[in-house]
Amino acid sequence: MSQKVYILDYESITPLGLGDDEILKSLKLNHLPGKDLSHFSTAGLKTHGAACVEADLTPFFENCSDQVKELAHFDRKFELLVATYKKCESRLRDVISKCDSKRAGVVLGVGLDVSPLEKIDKYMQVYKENSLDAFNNVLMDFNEKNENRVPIFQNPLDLSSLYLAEELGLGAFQKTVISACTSSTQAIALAYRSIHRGDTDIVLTGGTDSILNLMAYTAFGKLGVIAKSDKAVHEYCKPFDKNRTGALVGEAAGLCLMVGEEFVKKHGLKPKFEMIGYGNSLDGYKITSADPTGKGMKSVVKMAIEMGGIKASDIDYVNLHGTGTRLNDELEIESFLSVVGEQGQGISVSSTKSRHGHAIAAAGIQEFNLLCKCMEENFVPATMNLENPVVGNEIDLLKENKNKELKVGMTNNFAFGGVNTSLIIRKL
Amino acid sequence: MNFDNVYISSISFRTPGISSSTDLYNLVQSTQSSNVDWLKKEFKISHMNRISTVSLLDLHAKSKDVKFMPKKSDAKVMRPDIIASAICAQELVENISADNLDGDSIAFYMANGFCLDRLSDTIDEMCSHYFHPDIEEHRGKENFDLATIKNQALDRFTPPLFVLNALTNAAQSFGSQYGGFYGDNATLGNTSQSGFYSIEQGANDIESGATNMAVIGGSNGVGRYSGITHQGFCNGNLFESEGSGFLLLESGESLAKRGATPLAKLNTLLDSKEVPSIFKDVSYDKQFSINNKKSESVIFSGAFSNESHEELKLEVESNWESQKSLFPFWGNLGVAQNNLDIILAIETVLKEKLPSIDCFNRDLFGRQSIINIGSCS
Repeated sequence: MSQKVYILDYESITPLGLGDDEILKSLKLNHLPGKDLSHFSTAGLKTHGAACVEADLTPFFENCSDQVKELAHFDRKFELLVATYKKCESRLRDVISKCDSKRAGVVLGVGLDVSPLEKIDKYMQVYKENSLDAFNNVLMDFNEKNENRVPIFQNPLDLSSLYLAEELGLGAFQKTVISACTSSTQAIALAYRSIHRGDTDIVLTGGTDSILNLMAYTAFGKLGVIAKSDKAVHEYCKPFDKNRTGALVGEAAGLCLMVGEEFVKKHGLKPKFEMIGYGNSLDGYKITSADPTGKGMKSVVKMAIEMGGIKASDIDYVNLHGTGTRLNDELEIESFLSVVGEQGQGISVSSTKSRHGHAIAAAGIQEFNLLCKCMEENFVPATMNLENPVVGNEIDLLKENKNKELKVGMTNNFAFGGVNTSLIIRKL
Repeated sequence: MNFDNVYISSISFRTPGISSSTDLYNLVQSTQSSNVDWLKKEFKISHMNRISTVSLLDLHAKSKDVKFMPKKSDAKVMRPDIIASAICAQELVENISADNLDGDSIAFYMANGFCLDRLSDTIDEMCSHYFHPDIEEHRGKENFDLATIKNQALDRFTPPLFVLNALTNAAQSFGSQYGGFYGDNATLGNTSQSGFYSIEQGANDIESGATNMAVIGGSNGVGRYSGITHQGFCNGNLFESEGSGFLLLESGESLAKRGATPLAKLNTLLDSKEVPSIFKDVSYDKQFSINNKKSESVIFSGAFSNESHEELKLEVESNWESQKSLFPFWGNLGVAQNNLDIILAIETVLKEKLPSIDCFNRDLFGRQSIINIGSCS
């Protein structure tokens, strides 16, 4: 049995705001949250900025157990995920309670767990005599003192999906996708496939990630992907600009509730969008760069359009991956143009990463939910900081926000290691 | 879920010390005791607190691995579990001797997870310089600032390729690069149930006609950090190993077109679909295995310690007439467990002329699965 797959609800917490209404407001006001990091000191590092979720998330944890609070204190990804869940908990429970738990699953995209050095500095001072083992000893100390099953550091990558499964009774599956920057995009695709095939009625999908801790931030800085510029942080990420120098790193969590056609009919639900297609491929070229011919990028755009049963000209807006790094932006837009050809002139495209930053494993869900919200409001956000575009008028690469009727939207993400994923939705 | 059109046409694996399925079968047949003393002599077995691990050693030193070894420029960002993936991906393709494989249509689902373990020495060094930087050389300098000194020390000792070394989808990326698989894909983490999900995804792709071939990879990394992650779930003692197992799933039509004979048939995939528990003690449906078994023989896995292995063995003995397990040799093989169990199952079906065999697994969080592998002869 194959069935249509709908998007019933979605929610996000990103540097642009707590919840999608705030996010839309920030987009319309061209709010640029990128600034010098305040979570920890970046003194002495070569990069200083990021787009952070600045708001106090403590109120979301009011009814959480001490264990959840402690885990969230040391694991920012989990903190963002729990806060996002709490923001929409009652809405989710209302729908999921109608479903047999064996027909309801969860699939999330998450990033790697890296211990926050800045939060354990004080514990390290005990081990002055043997500094090489100090970090290890602190982890072991916490582990020994921990009376719970889940370790405080190096907790399982499945933590977030298992937490949601336990909270909401999601028994069909609890999957965790770890495909770097396409993790949550692929999670959405896997959710779609499960419902489309008829294996499940409901899948809660999304993801969470933050590399805004000292070790991860330093490591990404050393890799050379974070923009270096004399300009203010909010100005230095310039996707699709000839003078781009790198990415603005970010953090985010997002959830999306996808439901099947039969379930929608049975319960008289009113979904907002239908997911109509996706493309998913591997470059198999190099771990550090995309295939320079754009083969994988082209294939996913083509696949998604074909699966959606639409023409390229039917797409009203594409939220591009556009990180602002030297290597990939030009290739992405050239690949897209080679698929859509002359039909590209009517398609509005932009990258929103110069606003909210690159949330790595959560980039997919952040941009998917943003696409949904923009389509609800018929609003197309521009690429901020774009001065000298890498393309001419072959495509509508937006430097200014615009209002436009949005019926069909696409979002694309590409990951280190050559993973390419594209999703298409249609407004109902 | 039952499958009518999903066959296993090629296998490849690397576990410490063994890399042929005949040797794997013979090892399991010949050694019944659950101690690992013989392994200590042959392989590097590490003991940390109450955690024991066995590593994949010197893959490149084995003659059969030489031709599959990744380029040096790639190997410098590859963990052992990733190198094993690249080797297995190539061997999987070589085994079927097929010309003109359409890599664009070959799906590739990978289970992987612990990505920092082989970087633990690097992390120790980075942290030691961050926590206790040599501040004497800076004291008295203008604008002396401890945060600056600490961060500069961390920055100096962070390898430029650290992010790539720790990349969560590196096994899939290099598997794709060296094996030539470019189709639908995902990397799933990070218990044995992720391996089950990977197999399920590939089998569904073939059964639905979306593709004719799907590569299923599982590569397990272990060490200090995986030990910390798992220890609380298994009441102390922990025994786990690195290992990598790859399967090629293929449709009947594709096999016929190639004139190839499959190794085995994938008959059924079942999982318990219970809501798992992460914060509370594992509880699971004890009727799952007895209600869903399809054979009187089983390959079983799911223990993390010798004690829990003995308990699981007793449970399995009451449900199946004959049992085999890889646990006595390598402990828990994590995300690679299902694939390695299936490889042992295929060899068992062939050697013992069984119509089919079950692979029963229980993961860290109580999720249970049974995969039935059938004979093709």
